Amino acid sequence: MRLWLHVLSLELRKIVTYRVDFWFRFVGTLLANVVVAYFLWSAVFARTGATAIRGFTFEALILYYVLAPLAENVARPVDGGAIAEEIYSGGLTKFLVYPASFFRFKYVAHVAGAAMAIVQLAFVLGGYALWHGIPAEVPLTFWTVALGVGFALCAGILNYLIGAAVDQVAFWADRVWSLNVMVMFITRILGGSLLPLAMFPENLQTVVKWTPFPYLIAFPVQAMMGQIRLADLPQAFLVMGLWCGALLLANRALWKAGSLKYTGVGI
Amino acid sequence: MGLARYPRLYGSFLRFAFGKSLEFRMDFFFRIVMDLVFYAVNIAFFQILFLHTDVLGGWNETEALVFVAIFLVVDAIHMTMFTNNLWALPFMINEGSLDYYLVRPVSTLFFVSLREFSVSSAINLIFASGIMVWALAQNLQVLTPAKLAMLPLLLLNGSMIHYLTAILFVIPTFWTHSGKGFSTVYHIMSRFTERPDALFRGTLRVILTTVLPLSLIASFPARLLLGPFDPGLALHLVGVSLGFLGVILALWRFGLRAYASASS
Repeated sequence: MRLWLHVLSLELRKIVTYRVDFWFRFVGTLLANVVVAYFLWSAVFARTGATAIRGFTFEALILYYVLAPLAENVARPVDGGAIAEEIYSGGLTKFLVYPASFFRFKYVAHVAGAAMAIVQLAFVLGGYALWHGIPAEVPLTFWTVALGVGFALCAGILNYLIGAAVDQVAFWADRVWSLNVMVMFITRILGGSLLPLAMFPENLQTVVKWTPFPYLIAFPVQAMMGQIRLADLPQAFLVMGLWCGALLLANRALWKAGSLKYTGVGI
Repeated sequence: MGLARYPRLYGSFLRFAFGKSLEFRMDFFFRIVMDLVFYAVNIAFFQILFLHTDVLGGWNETEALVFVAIFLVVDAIHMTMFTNNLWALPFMINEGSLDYYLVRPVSTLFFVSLREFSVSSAINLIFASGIMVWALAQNLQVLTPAKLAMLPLLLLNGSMIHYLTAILFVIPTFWTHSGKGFSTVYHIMSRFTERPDALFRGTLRVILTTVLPLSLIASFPARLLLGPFDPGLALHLVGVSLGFLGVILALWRFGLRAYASASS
């Protein structure tokens, strides 16, 4: 346990070493996301004259777009590719002789990123609540936010397993950068980053709920906004559990076959 | 005679790129699929949005599809010709390998911007063009031969602005020596390119149509294509494009003066 706390502390220090870039990227992404959503949905609400669309008032939608990148940062705190990079560079070799699991090392980096993302979430949400206020129709409380963060942390395990499986393709493929970007694109649309899932056609929503993606962003955000019902939980945990199990098996199989192909010299 | 070197040189870049693409076959395939997913996500986004409104930024669903298609074609041109080169540029500046390009008897900017041609993205350009034909076919009633003749020019101009915007965020590397320049900012800002310009109002709109003309990449070409010909809009597009080109060329020269060679 002491080893992992030490690794966690090192990873946290790594993040704050490039703090200007870290905060700049975070604030920039958040602002662009919210500004684009503001103008886009202003136009839609103005055109339709509706007070709510699929249960979202304009104010609630903007709050959704504030929370979506924050929840995404908790569940997906690091860009994919770190494991692939170790395979390409030959850096994996040193982990093979360490008396600890390579995947745990990488997961601790993921946890460090998630810890920083929770701090960001607290600052931004607190600032937003003070500056703008939480819309009256959104039952957001400290406990719903805590529940949402808890879901995002669970989703982080799922995201890590997806990323690890994609990265391990690097044992065979010359580059996997594009695979990671592909997963990011799919997550952005099916995860609810571009649009809340409630805006999707009903039949598509039913299908998407059986994929891992909504649980990475939309589900934690809905939990924070107090929109998750007790009845939604069994399916959510079942789907997340099934995907985690399947991905664990896939990761094990990939590692077993891939590590036999690993030459240790890098490319 | 001097300019004749450039097509020959570009021909060499292409031959080299085709040879290289066969070395990384899986990456070649992954990149094609990645871009196809990107296209699908962009189209799906607008299709879902139009379930909740009939008009967005002054366009109905089929007109908005033309806007998306123009954006995808311009993006595919950018990915094919410029993206790999602009990724490498900050490293060249920081490591000093830009020296090799400064001493060659051709324009340094031409060389560093175009030397790597992405064959996989060129294949995607065919798919993106197919999407554009599909989108245009749904708007035949507003398309005239003159507008269709103007389309290649609009796409080229959009690609130029896309490239100029991207390099604008790389040029500060001459002074900051950061690993990627301000390319993160560029990626964040590109979200504005992906939405119709008529959505944005006030100061933001002025910025997006003049100072940082992201709306001129796909929105203005779509408006010129879909609406009645607006000379003011066309003049705005040409004027801002030329002005922006001048500013970037001046910034590039200014940056080169700050370049400290291999020791930077």
